[in-house]
Amino acid sequence: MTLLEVRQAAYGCVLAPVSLVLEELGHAAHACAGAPAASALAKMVCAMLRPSSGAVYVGAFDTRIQPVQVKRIAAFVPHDAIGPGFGSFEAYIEYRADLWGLDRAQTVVNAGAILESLRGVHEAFAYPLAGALAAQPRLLVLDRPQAAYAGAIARAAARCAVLSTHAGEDEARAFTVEAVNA
Amino acid sequence: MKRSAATFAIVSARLRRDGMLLVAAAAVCALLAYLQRHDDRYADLAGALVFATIAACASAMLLHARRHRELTLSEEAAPLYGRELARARAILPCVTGALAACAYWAVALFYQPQGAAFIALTAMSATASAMAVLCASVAPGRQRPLFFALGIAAGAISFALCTVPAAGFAAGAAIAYVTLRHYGEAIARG
Repeated sequence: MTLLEVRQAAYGCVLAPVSLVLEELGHAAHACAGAPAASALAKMVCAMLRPSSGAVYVGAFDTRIQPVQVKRIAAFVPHDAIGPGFGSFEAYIEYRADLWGLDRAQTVVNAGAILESLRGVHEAFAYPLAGALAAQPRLLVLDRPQAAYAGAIARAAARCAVLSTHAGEDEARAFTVEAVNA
Repeated sequence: MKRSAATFAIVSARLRRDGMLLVAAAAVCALLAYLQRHDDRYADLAGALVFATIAACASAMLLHARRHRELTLSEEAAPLYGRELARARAILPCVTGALAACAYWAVALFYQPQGAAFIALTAMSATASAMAVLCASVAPGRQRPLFFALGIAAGAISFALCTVPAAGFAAGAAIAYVTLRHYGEAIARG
């Protein structure tokens, strides 16, 4: 069943029209023309940016019309590492649980288990991953993830579809190779 | 309950990072009140409006500066409606403006008694200015200077209506309400 469909979606002059389809539990690494385009595509899929043309459908929802419903299905993982502002992993997960309307205690337990499975990933990158997966999304969207962590991400996100956006073909290929070899 | 938990989480996360700025804004306004002349209650009011407006506008501009990216991205990725996110984000700049106004008046009251009407008028004006500048931060190119001008004009309008403080308060509340709705819609549009 198709989970994600991007139909000639563009974002101003940052992202040229893109089309892609992703099935449930599928994995896709999409190469874009540069970092801004990759970031824009990832955010468009997660309904954080509205496409200037074309359409993005996640599940049965159009990101332009039902962004909140899309955000319940798709989880965004940013490119940048998380800063030290939260003090502890539990505080960060409780913050995300409150934003997503989830039970705090259960989310901390889920996130802790996911963090365990992300051994080898630096905590600055593992925390946002664990936070995103703790909400049990159907689609995990990664904005320019590091190829070195592809295997760990594939294992931790075994129960959802994964879309990663990359700044070029080489990065997309490297990420796919690492994920397959894991 | 869960929606208020999201609002509380956004406000407390931003307050943990920018709380010192809020305290600094209040301290600076209190200091400026100490240095201000106090022989004319309208000069007091003008000073309070100017400094509280500056504090509120600065706080609003800092909210959309490229700071605390992990907070901004988490808020944008969370399943929150535009108006919910707008209300939560607006709290800190509005509180900064209102607190700066109260700090100013707390010092000014030592020199000259003032009615509660002027204090409420200043706090509402600072709130309206903060909301207008928040709109400017997300407005497309040509609208941005208009919202900035509105943020500054909110203080001028409040001063112009100070002889009838209730009218000035109502004008500030109207500006704050309209700009808050506009801010929520702008966030929802993405």
